[in-house]
Amino acid sequence: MNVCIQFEESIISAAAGDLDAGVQQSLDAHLHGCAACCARLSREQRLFAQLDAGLAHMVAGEPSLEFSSRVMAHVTGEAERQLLVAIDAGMAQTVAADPSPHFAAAVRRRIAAHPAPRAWFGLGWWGPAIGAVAVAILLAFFWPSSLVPAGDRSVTRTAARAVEPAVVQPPVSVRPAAKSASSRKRIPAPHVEQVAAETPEVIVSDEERRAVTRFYRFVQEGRIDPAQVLASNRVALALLLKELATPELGLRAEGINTLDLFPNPRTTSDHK
Amino acid sequence: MDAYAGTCPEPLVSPDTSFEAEFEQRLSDSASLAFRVALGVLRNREDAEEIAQEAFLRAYRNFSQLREREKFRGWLARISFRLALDRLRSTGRRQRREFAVLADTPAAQTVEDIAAANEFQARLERAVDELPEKLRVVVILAALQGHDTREVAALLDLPEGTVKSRLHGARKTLAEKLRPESLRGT
Repeated sequence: MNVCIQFEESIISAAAGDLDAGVQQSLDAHLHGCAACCARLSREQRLFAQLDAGLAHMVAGEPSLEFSSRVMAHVTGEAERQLLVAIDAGMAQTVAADPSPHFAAAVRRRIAAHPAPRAWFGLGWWGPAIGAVAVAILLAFFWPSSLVPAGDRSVTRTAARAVEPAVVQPPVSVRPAAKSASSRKRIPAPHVEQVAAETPEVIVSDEERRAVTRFYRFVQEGRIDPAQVLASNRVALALLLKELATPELGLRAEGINTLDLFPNPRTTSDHK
Repeated sequence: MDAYAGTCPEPLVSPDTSFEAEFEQRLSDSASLAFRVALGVLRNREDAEEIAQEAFLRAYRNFSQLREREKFRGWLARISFRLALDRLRSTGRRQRREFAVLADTPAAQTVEDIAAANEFQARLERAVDELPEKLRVVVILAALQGHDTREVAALLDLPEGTVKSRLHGARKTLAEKLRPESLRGT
């Protein structure tokens, strides 16, 4: 028995459960008088029921008992991985910064604005040179003479110019040292004491020796007034003289403060 | 840990115990859903469980970005469905698929009935596999939710009318493929 073709679609929709209410009424009216359509509706309804059961069976089931614990184990590992990734990213971001394009120029400007400090009271190489010159002049005038009262000593510019070349030469032998006069105090104490015990020589550097030689040449040529040079640095001169107050050099500390720097030349018989 | 909070690309997960506790709660609430969605596609318990685990892991990675936490179940279901489809396409594990044996067959049924039922089930599953993705996910979720179209619409974040339309169309397509020849035109 064939179903009424005009109702076949309605029958299938009715079996599927999505027939409109209005169409449902007309189908119900038809089914009252059509056994074939009634039979067809029954078979379609069984088909859809079987289909729904099959679909439900397809998705029936529960995960294993260990499912949740396995998921959380993965989650914990993932959390640790995210943490490490975040740490790495944070550190990379921290050290990824580059200095500005003007950094190098700013560094150079700062270096130029703050030159290396000059030693010896800001006099640069003049400081040790003046000190060495002062020592040399004193040795030239006093060696081998001993100190005499300041009132007996006087020196004039003319007398300074009249100094014999032989007297101008440092009377003591000098031994070049690796360090300049300005760094003499940095020589380890045992080394200085050992040197003082071994020899009465005055230790000066090559630079100082050249400065002293040049100074004496300028004095001879009249280009330098030693009185003016030494007068501008009497404090440093006094400190140097105190360091040289040893019996070997014939200088006594108590006489240094009253020392007249340019006495009349003395002979060796005047040396104490 | 707080020292990196301002420099990390994404919020740290550990050691925020409240975050993990919330996720674990959602895991227990939605484990069956993720598993059964994957099972509906793969029809293999081992594969379905593996996919469900992967779905949860992906959900965990992006959990902080989910603004509306009440949509977690639907979000997870869609992830599980997508991963299951990808697994099906990439590995072609049809040969491992377990044909669902109808367990509720009456005891009085004969061997032929059982065989027929199994054959019907196999044809049904093949027909479901041939459905477009939009229809397939609706069919599977409707089967899970007992044909509650409102619940399916919430999971898929779709209007209920859209879900109804797709579900009815899918069922009719399946019925057309499964209808015995003897039933056609009669």
